[in-house]
Amino acid sequence: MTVAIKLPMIEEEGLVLGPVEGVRGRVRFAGTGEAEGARVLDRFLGLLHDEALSQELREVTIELAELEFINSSCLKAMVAWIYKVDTEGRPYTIRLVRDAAMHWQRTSLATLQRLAPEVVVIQDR
Amino acid sequence: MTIEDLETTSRLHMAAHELVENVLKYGSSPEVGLEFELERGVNESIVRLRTRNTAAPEQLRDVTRRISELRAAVDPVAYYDRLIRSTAPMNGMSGLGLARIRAEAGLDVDCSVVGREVSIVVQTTMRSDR
Repeated sequence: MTVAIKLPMIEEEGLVLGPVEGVRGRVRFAGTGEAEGARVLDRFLGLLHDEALSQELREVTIELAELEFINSSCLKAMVAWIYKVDTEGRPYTIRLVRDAAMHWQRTSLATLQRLAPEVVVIQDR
Repeated sequence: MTIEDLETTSRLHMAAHELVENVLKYGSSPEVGLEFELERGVNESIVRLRTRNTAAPEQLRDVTRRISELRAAVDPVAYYDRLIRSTAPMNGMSGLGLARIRAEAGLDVDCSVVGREVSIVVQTTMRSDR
């Protein structure tokens, strides 16, 4: 089995971040993102952005169904990434796969989509 | 007492996380407080979360200004969206927590300052158990 997107699997501060094996441009977030996790998430999203650009991906999919909660510091890391993609030529779209049964995922992902509606696509799992 | 409304539970969970993070970030002494109150009424009850901490004068002014702006906003979601857009290019602290509580969790947010202590209160109403 190959890992098409070359990112480290990070398991730190309650967050699990990593590529979905064998699926190009698809990553999975799991666990809980508290304040300490924001730094980890920020670093991971920077690596993901660089990888998406180097592989000329047209879409990056983030599976969030196993992400139980993130606080506003982690949400800010996602805001910064989405803003960067939106203001730097929109090289790829970001598909967020959510579990709509989680209240925070409904509200927070809608917030991210309002920030950059041409970049962010929300999909129910 | 149980809160069986999952939606309300999730909203309070979000608020509690954000409030605790604020206390840890901005509190200037180990003495902090987090209280959960239920004010029962016949048809509706008020659920309230309250934090207390001391902070530096500039932090007290900042939180008071933020909450005043938030409470004055006619549309809390539009205010939150503007805040997100304005802070998106900046590195560091998010400053989004209280606006998130108001816009995403739909809770009322208020604060009071006495001396160097700030108390932040968020609350919502819920249907009382029958």
